[in-house]
Parts: sequence; structure tokens; C-alpha cells
Amino acid sequence: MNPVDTERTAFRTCPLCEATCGLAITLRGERVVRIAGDRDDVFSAGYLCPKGTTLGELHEDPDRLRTPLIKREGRWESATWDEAFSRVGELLRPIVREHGADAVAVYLGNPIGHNLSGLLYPRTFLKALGSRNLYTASTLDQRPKDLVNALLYGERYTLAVPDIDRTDLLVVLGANPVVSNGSLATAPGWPRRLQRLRERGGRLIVIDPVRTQTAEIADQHIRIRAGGDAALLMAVVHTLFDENRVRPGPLNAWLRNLDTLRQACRDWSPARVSGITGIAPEVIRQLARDIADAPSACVYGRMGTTTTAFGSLASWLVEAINILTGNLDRPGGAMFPLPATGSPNTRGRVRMGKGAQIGRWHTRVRQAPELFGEFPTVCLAEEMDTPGEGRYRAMIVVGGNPVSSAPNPARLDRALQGLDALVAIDPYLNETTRHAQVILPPPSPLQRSHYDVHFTQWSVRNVAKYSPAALPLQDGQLDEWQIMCRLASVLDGSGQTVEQVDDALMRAMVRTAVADEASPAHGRGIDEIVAALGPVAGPERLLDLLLRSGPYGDGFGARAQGLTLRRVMDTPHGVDLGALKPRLPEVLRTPDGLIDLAPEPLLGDLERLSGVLKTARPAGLRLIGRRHLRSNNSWMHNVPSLMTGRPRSRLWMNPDDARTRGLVSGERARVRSSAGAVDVTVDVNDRVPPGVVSLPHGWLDDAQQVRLSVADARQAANVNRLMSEADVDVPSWTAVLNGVDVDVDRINTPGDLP
Amino acid sequence: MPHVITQACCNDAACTVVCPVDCIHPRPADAAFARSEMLYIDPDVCIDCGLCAQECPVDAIHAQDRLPAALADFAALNRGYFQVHPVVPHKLQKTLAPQHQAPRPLRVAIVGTGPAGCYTAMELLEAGGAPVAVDFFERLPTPWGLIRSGVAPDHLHTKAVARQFAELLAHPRVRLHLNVDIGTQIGTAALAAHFDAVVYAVGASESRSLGIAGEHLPGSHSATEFVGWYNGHPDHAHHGFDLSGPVAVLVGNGNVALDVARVLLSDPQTLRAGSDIAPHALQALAHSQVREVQVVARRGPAHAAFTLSELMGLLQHPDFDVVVDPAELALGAAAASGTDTPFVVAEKLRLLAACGARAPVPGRRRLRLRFGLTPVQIDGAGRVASIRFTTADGAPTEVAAGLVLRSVGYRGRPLNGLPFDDTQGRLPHQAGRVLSAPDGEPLAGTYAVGWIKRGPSGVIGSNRACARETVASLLEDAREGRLAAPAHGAQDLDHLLRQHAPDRIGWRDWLRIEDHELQAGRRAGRPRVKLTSRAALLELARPATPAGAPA
Repeated sequence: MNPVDTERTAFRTCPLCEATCGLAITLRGERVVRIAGDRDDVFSAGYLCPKGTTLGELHEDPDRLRTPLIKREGRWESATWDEAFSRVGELLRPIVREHGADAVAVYLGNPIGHNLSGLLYPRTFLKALGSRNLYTASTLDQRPKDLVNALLYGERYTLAVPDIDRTDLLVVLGANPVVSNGSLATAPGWPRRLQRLRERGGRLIVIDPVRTQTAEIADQHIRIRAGGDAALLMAVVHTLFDENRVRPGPLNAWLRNLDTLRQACRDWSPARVSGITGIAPEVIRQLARDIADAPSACVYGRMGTTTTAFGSLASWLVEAINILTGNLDRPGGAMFPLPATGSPNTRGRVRMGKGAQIGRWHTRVRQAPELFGEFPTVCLAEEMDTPGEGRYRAMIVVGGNPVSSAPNPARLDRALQGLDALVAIDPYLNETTRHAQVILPPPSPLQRSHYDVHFTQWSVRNVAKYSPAALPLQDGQLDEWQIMCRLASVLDGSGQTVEQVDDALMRAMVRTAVADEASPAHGRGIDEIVAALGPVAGPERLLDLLLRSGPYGDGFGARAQGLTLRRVMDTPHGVDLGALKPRLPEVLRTPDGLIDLAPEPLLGDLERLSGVLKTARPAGLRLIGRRHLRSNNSWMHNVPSLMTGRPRSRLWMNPDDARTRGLVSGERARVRSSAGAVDVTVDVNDRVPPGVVSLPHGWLDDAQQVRLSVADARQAANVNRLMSEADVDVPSWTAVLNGVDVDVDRINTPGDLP
Repeated sequence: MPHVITQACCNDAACTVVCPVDCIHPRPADAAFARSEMLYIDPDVCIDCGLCAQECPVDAIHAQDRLPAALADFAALNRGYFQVHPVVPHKLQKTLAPQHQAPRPLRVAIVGTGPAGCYTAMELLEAGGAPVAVDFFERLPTPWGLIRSGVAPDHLHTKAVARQFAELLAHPRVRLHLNVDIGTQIGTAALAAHFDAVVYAVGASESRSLGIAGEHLPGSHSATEFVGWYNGHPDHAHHGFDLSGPVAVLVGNGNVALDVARVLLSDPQTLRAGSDIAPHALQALAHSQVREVQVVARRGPAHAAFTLSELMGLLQHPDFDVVVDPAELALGAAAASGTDTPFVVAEKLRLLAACGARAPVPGRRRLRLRFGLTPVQIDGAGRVASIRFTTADGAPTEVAAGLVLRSVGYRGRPLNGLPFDDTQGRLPHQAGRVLSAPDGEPLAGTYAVGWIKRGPSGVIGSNRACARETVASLLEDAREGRLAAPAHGAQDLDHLLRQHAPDRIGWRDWLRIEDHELQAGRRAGRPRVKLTSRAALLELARPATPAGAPA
């Protein structure tokens, strides 16, 4: 039989979201016939969502860029890689020469977190560039969690994830994992796992203004007022102290400032916050008791808690409750994963560290602090459009579309237009990359190998899964790591080959590994390790190094049964490394080796929260976001099968609010905030409570000069036009994307008359 | 656990469009689609994402682990379909881009606001794109055609299909003109002069008759009258029915007959809370003496006209037993009908056999499904007392009954100024283009959709494919320059309406009626309390405006 007619199956971990589901991809020749869940995957056991079925469509999307593009006199031309990189050099090198490396800012988007090359290789060009002005999509949505992790546990990615497979009580706050597939808690098949939680007699409590699909399957749904999370959590902590239910147990040995926390929450009784939260005091007290009394329990908060005016406080208090009830680091509570490729909390000396790396330098215009070497994206536009010394003159954007995903897109759009140069690594011509002079397209996900170096740090079970590329690169395509290495070579002007850049990176990582006391490769010779890794450049060699020198690694012979990339490759459905195990205190990297329950930057923000309690709530509406199973932030809206059916970029409004405004489903309305306005179609339903409206993010509403024909076929609104870059969670400088005050008015149409 | 399609399935195939693994069958492109009573989910391919359930306009799809008890049997039914009709999983290519963009601004009138008209507007706006604008004309003061006046009042899920049509009316390029009778108040030619195209979606509201003696005796009615009565249709709300006898007979066994039987046998308390049955009907049924309804068909059970899913729903009804005579069950069991799939026929026979084997509970109300009886004559002195049949063996038999309702088919009603195919009882057409005569030429700019186009067949969602065909013809004619620009503009139309239809009810007026009915329902603990007279509807639509003034 002709090989083109023969069906074959490729197993691959889905790279689209944090859930890391195993896919079984049936291919015929170069074409995807169908994609199903891999029933033998050790982690996902066959679960998959609609997005995962579309990798074939994504691969074949005619709008996806296949060759580099260079803009000449305002028109895009296809180019060879040599031409493209040569143009990048022409554009960026003079700016660096004349204004310094800091005149070039870098933005890293969310998709690189799901991409082996995207995780391992940006350091090549970042080092070659040497700019301090680094921005990431993380600063738009998860920074409060990062900050709290760093303040409490010593390192931003030291995240305690809900042990959902064993817990007796899961409290979900401002998250809709049944639809989102979960975030900051990697667990393929949340719906199944929550189902099993309830089958084994566990309980699920959802705290959310919206009757989400997660709330629908919960034992209890507490309908909180939008923006009330931090106050609610303060009252829960208050109740734990007030009713003498604080039982940290063995955690006590690692805690400090317990009394400071007790003092801080003294005035936060349930009665005091019941106005702002809309929750009766007795319900708050009972919630505290339920968490304290459960054999094991875990509070889990996500977007609805982090992208609000008090995201840092809420994230801190989530940790505090898990700690005070003794649920941190115990089965069924919130636990620290131990990833096979290691993480900052597996390296270096245990219970020693520099502490939270924040505020070492600041932005020019608003003096916003760096956090972990990154600036908040809310400051990006002003650093480009405010005249003066130190203004950004160029940008490199990798896998990001901040014009869609950051507040005040109109300003960012203008600012990008005013740059001297913009270089993008991106598969699409979108609202951001349209302002580029050069676009360097990476291959499609099916053409890349995969290992979740990042999300195994946040995974509810320790697993190691490697997927080879399902389809080969076409002639003339570069892999993403090759693009980044060449970019590095162009930026430092060294003229090094891809292999040379890769070698230097590999050697640097080997040096780190052998110097690390925690590594099984500690103390070994660099050349010995380099020789063992072999001569083939690319991410596999780096991954092999990370696995072999990681917590389960073979240590290059030191541990006979240890992991190597070969062993992981030989197990196409993944290696199960078991349920999470307690990691305290070795996981800590705080300077004193303790967990600070009341860090100063957070305590200091409580006064701001008190201020909100005093001000009366405006009578208008509060805007929040929402997730859709077929959306993935600002991209994937160009995949036809994810865009069929009823339009999703619609404003949800409660029937009572609709009635007062004379609105019915299907009508057009104008939403106005202090920052801007968008026109939307209204969907009246009682999933949202009175006083709350909801509009999802990531939708294209300005298709000029973009190449997203499918996304453009549907009427939509970019919700970020309603968001202000001035509106932030103070400690973390995270944009406020949830709980924004808005007005909504009907737009009169000709259809009303005669 | 997969998802499961259940009784209310409307076949509009909205679910198939969003399914990421294309596990819902038969698919619109399959030959079996047009014949299929409902759609089924392949449980071995379904990934349980629930998109279909969100998209379903009638809430017919449930996660299997949250299937309501009354619908539990549908899990096995969905699985069973694929045992008989196995399929190879395959992802279909999906497209979004409009297929037939209109070349210039197009103003289209749609006459009728039932499902066929509404699907036509949906398809026009989607496929025609921004240049298309639609004006709806409706004879009644209320929209939705048979959704409001035909669908059984206790089939609330089926009625929920109107939600998406209500959104359609909110579209900025859609206008609504209720209480305007095209053909009498405004002539078809006058209408055509104001639009690029006119689509007739006026349905088939005439009942076919039995053609037997005694059919016109008091106590013998068409099911249409009874359905219009319990649904509060302004033309039928005034009827009276004699419910004082213990037995009622329905001739014909389509889904309408089952609806009528179910309403006659339901506990009025069930109907009060679980239906939007008209208040006058509820009151009359509260005093009903009917204990048994016989649903009688000429042919055997293999040719039963009711759908499998309706039979399944009937068998779960808490208020009455379903009874079948085992002897009648044996009739023509081998003969397969041409409209159902063999799977559906086999399932129906299996369920009917189970009914036949079960002893009814004494004293409980019952619905008797009868087969192989040809009506011969209705007897009675001045009013119906009994109906005579011939059995399949040619033997005479008689059923004493105070009420006989016939439900043996419908035909369209001719419209002034339009051709009519009298043998078929519908507009003569070719792919939706109305023809001057059954074999004649297309009448430029005149189209048909729904029952007036294809005759009374299919379920609500069948109109979607029907509308797609008509819209494709219309847009092709527009592209090919076969549509003359209208002689008159939108303002002239407004003038025409003021002059000839002074009691026109607009969309905002209708929203007031809708709100009133829903609020009245909320107060009464009911889904909705319908207004059933033209006067009451008009009064609410025009609270402060003197007649004749523009709304």
C-alpha cells in the first residue's frame, strides 16, 4: 500500500493549554484524519477538549504564515530566512548602537510557555540583546500568584497546587476549570476529576458571581459580588482565628508572623464584609468551619481572584487559609509538585535563597517595579509613547498579541505604530504583528517536539511526557529554537551559527547542573556531561540534560534506574512519577528558610482594601470576563471548527438589568467604562447575577491589515478597550480585568420603527 | 460519559456544526439525514465536551450522567443507533465564510413568522451578509407560527426554539410587522413592489377531511381546531368541545394525534404548572370526563406515523397508561415504511410489543394505540355518539365516543394573487422559486419555504435545510441579476402599512405582550399565561397610542 494511503497514529501532548492532554493523532500522509484522546496517556487517560481536535486545522490554516515576511514600503513580501535575519540586523543593531540595548523592549506571550523551544531558547537572544525591558503575558494575569509564591516560599514558580485527586473539599474561587481546563493547576480532565471527587464523597464549593459550569456541578455555589474575594478571604481567616480553628499542625515549625496575621485580620469580621461580598455572615463562618473541619481541604483561586484590584491580597489569603487549616503540603490539600526537569525549587541549597526578587529597577514613566526581571505590561505603551531619554524605540514580540490582550489596546496600537522597528516571532499577522517590519513564523505545533518543562512544575501529579514532532518541517522552514538562535546571533553581531549558539547555551546549562548541590550530576566534569549528551543540537539535548540532572534523573550514570530522555521517549504515553508528595521544608528558598505568613508588601495593601469597604458601591454594573471551551486567549479564533455555532463575543446580562434598560437578547448595546467603549450584542441570561455583566476576552474587532479571515468573519468586541492601564493591583502591578465599573445602554437601530 | 440526544430533538443540526469530533449522526450531508426522525450521538466517539448541549435550541441534549429519569432510555437509543448504523469517525472540514454574499443591498419580505420564515431570515442574514435586510409579515398579532399555536403546550423544550428566533428579531436589519394580512390587507403585488424578493412561509393550515358520513356532526372536529383551541390561537380560542363522555377517538396517529391524546389525558395540575396551555382550555379540561383516548390508524404498527422519541416520551408519562391490543400489533409488522430507518421501526415495534404485554392499571386513564382500522362512518343523533370502522380482516367494529378528532394531514391555503398547486395543496415551486403553474416559469422575486413549499412533513428543524435551499436560489437570482429593484422604498412601505394595516403590531409592541404573558405566568406559577383574543393582544400592544398612529 502506498504510504500516503496508510493511516498511522502519532501520540502527542496537546500544547494549547495548561491541561497537557495526551492526543492520539491519526494521520494519512501529511494530513490529519482525526484527533482523539490518548486513552493510554498516564495523566489524561483519553480526555480531550474541542481545541485539541483542531491541531490539523491549525496546521492547514491558509492564514498561518509559512515563510518570513518583510514589510517594504508598507507592503508585506515573502522573504528567505537569510533576507529576514539580515533585515532584523539592519533594523535593530543601529538602535542598540545609538540608544543602547534598553531601547529595545521584549514581549513574551503565553504560547511560549507551552512550547519546548519557547521555554528553553529565549535566553539566547535575551542575553545577546541585553535589554532590561522585558515584558510577559504573565504580568497580565498571574503576577499576584507569582508575587505571593515568592514572598511566602521564596520563588515565584513554587506554586502549591490543589491535590484534586485526593481532597475531601475543594473550594474554587473565581475559576471555571470545567470550561477553562484549569490554570495554575495542570490537570487534564478537570470535569472527570471533579466528578470523581464527588463520587468518593468529597465536596465541591464554588465561589463565583456567575453560575458557571463548574458552579453547576458543585455541592454549594456561593454567589459573591464581583470584586469581593479579598474581603471574603480576610473574613474567613478572621473566623479561623476567632473560632480557634487555626491548626497548622506540623507546618508550625516552618511558619513565622502567625501573630501578625492574627492581628491583621482582627477587624475583618464576616459582618463587616457581608456588604462588599454580598454573602451573609453565617455563610462565611460556615465556609471557614467547612474548610477547617474537612479531613483535607484546598482553596483554589484563579483569574477571578488574580486579575482584580486586590489580586495579591486574595492570592495571599488563599495560601494563608490553606496553611492555617494545616492543608498546605499534605495529601488532599495544596501540594508542591516535583517536576522531572527540575525547577528553581529543586536547585540550589534548600531553605536558602535571595527571597522575592522585586523592585531592583523601575520603569521610566511610572516607576513601576520589576518583578522577577519583568516589567508589567500595563506600562508598555507609555514607555514607547512618552517622549524623552530612555523611550523604547523597538520591540521584539514572541508569540504574543498584547494589542488584543492588554488594557487600552488603542494606545498600545498607536505606540507600536510609532516604533522605529518591531520584529515578531509569530505564525499570524495579527493586531500586534501588523506593526512589525519582519515576521519570523515558527512551525505549526504538529511539526514540533514537545515536553511540558513549565507545566510539570504546576502539575497535580508528577509525570514526564515527551512527544516527537508528528509531521516533519517543510523545506525552508526553521524550527523555533533555530529562529531564536539566529536572532541571538544577529543581535550580538557575532555571526555565530545556530549550532554554536546552541552549544554555548548547552554548556552554560551543564555548568549550572554540575555546580548544583541538589543535582545528581553535581561535581561531574563539564566535558564528560557534554560528551554524554552527544553532538546533536536542539531542544532534545537540553531536555535530556534537564531530565538526567533533575530530581528523578540518572545523573549520567549515578542512578541506574533514573530518567533519561531516551527512557521517556520509549514510553509514548508518558511516565507516571506518582501522586504529589510532601516537600516541606526542602521546597523553600526563602532567606530564612521559613514561610512568612504576613509579608510586608501585602500587609501594607490592607489599608487600600479597608478604603473600598467605606466607599459605597456604585449603582451601575460591574464587568467581568469569562472562559469558553473553544477559545484560547487571543488566538485560535482563526480555526473554523472552533468558530462555528452561536457567536461567543457577547455581553451576558441578568434579566433584571436587561429589563431596566429595555434590552433583550440579540440587541446591540454600548458598554462604557472610564477607559473606553465597545459595542456588543447582548445575551440576557441568569447565569450572571444582577449588577454583573460579562464579556470574554481575546476577540478581534479591528481587522485592518491583519490576516485572520476566519476570526474576522464574526462580529466581536475587544473587551480590553474598556480596561485602563492605570487600574492595577498595587503590589503586583497586574491589570484589573475583572470587576470594572461600566454602563450599558441600548443602541437604537432602524429595526425599532416605524 | 458521553452526551445523549433526547426526545425534543428538532433536527435543525445546530449541534453537528459545533461537534469537534463529528460524532452526531446522521449528518446533514448524509442521505439518511432527510429521513431521520432525530439525531444520535455516537457514545464511543463523543468527548463529552457539551458544546452540542449548549448549542441545541431545544435543550434536547444532556450529559448521560445527568440525564433526567424520564429520558433515561435515550442513552441506550443513541448507542443502539450506531450498532445498526456503524460509522467510521472522521473530522469534517468546517467553513465559516459566507457562501452566497449578496451583490447589492437586498430588501426581502418574509410572509409568516413560523420556523420556516425564521430559519429563512437566519440563513439570509448569514449567507447574504451585510447587504441583506428582512421585513417579517404575520397575519396574527403574535409571532412564531406553529411554535406558539401548534407545538403541544407541555412541550416547553420544543417551544424554546423560539429563543433563537427572538434574537433574530432583535437584529438591527430585521423588522417585524404583526397583525398584517398579506393577500387581503396588502396585496401580494403591492408587497412585491416594495421588496427585492418576497418569501412565502405561510404554512399549511387546512386539515384534510376523512370524507366519511357524519364527519360534520357536532362533536366531530379537526385536530387543528382542538390544537388551536388549547394553544390559544385567536382564530380557534372560541371553540367548544364536548368532554363529557368517557371516550374520545383520534383518527390518525401522527405526533399531533399523540399531542392531543396526551393533553386530553393529562392531569390538569400537570398541565397548569408544566405547560402554557390556554387558560380557557385548562378550565375546560379540569371538568373533562374523558378517561380513555383511542388513537386509531388505518395501517399497522410498522407504519405508525408518530416518531419513536414521542412514543418513548408517552410511555414515561405519569398520568396515564399506554395500551396496545396484541392482536392489532401483529398487523403488517414485516412491512417497513419508507420514511423511517429500519432501526427506528424496529425500536417502535419493540416498545409497542412491551406495551401489549403489560396489563393496564385498573381505574387509571389510558391511551389506546389502535391499528388496522379504517373509519367508515360517524354516527349519532344530532351529535357524535360513535364511530364505525372496518378492521384489517374486513370486519366491522364500532367505538362509542362523544368526541372524534381527525388528524390525517394538512394542506396549504391558496393566497390571493399567487398560483396554487391544488393537487399537492401547496405553492408550485422549483428549489424554492415559486412557479407560475406546477410546470410553469419562475415568478421573479417570489419564493416559498416550509410547508407551503414542500407540504406538511418534517419537524421544526427540517425547515433549516428547506430554508437553506430557498435562500440559495434567492441569492443566486440576485447575483444573476434576476431580481428587479423594488419600485418603492422603505418609507413607502411605512406609508402603505399605516394606510392599510393601521393595527400593525411592531417588535417593541410584541415585547410588551411577551413580557405581560411571562409576568402573568410568573404570578400564576406557570411558564406563561397566553392572551388569546385579538382584542386583548391589540390593547396591550397599543396601550396609549390611538389607532392609526405610527408606533
